[in-house]
Amino acid sequence: MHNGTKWFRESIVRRIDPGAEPVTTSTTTTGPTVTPSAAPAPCHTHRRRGRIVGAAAVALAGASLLGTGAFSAWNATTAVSGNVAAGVVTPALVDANGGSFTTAVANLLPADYFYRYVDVRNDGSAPSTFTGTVTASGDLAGQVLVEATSCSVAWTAGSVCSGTTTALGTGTPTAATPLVVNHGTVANGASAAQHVRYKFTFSASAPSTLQGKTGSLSATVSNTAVGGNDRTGG
Amino acid sequence: MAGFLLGFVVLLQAATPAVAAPWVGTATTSSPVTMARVGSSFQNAVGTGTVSPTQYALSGLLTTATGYVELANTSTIPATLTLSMSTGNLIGTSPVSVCPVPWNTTTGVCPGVVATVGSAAQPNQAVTYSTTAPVDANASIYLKVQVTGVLNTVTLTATPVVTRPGGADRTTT
Repeated sequence: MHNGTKWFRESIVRRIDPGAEPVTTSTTTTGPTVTPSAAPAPCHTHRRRGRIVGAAAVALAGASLLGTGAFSAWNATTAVSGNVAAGVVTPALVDANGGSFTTAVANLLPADYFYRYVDVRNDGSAPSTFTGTVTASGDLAGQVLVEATSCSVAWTAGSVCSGTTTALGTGTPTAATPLVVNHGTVANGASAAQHVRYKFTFSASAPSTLQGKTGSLSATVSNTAVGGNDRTGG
Repeated sequence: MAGFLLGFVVLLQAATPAVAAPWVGTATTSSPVTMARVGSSFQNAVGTGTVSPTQYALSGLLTTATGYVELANTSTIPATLTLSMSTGNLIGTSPVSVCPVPWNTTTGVCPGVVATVGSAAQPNQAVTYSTTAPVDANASIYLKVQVTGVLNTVTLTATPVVTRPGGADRTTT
């Protein structure tokens, strides 16, 4: 044992038990021949060792109290949180002006035409730019003139727009080459819906071979939200 | 060498600026469309005579010959049916009568109002007949052809039907 350590231990023992004998190196040495089961009954030396260990434990505990727990501590905690929600991209085509886009049309003759009305609605969480397409598939491909027009207010019966009309696109689409409809920016919310009228006109020169044939007209709108914006302000 | 290349690739990826993935929403609606079919056809002949979709013919030889045939509107929409009658050398009353409902082929009587194709047979001239009103899709008019006397042949030919004009607003119909 280090001499300094030995001196410290002896001094502690003497202060606790002035009559104790000085601790010698031999009394603190343990060896492989000494086991708990083989140890003799506590003798005077062992009792003294226990007192020494107990006194050391008390001293260390006291020291630890002096270092950390001697004073009461006032702890205060505060927290702040912010709600974060992922954006939603939800375009919608809503039937308008009392009609339904999906209503079938039968027995179309050359130069016949019909209107369909939809509200292009942004049900997402932020304004977004909308792009639309119109396709004519089956035997209608290339045989229907499509005119897409928006009205600043809702269309009314008789295909009347009492507001301002804007041409969104005109063409004769096929399935492979759709007509592109530029809807522009549509703010979110039902009240900001874009009122769109599609006019479909069957070709006046449609060949007689198209008699009894079928096809379909489809309108699609899509919008894209791209992130990467500084949202510090909300 | 492989480790060097891998490291190079990793460096390249790290140098590429991050691109935010776009979120796309789409909504679609569609409308089925069927084009009209127009036409007429001779069918359901009874008695003597030969029939094809476009023609019906009946010949008489020194005796009376009677035949019945329908002219059907095979269009998908109402149409005015039209036919042409040719009577060869026949002179006299018209050999073709039209009934709006099927003839009683036993008694030769029309249960409805009979119309006559042409006022009279004109030698070597064709007479055209049209229904006075559009006939519904898949409906028919019923013809009775009767020839008597010398050798004569009556030929009926279906001509193009007339439907409503094109260019109609079909938004609600």
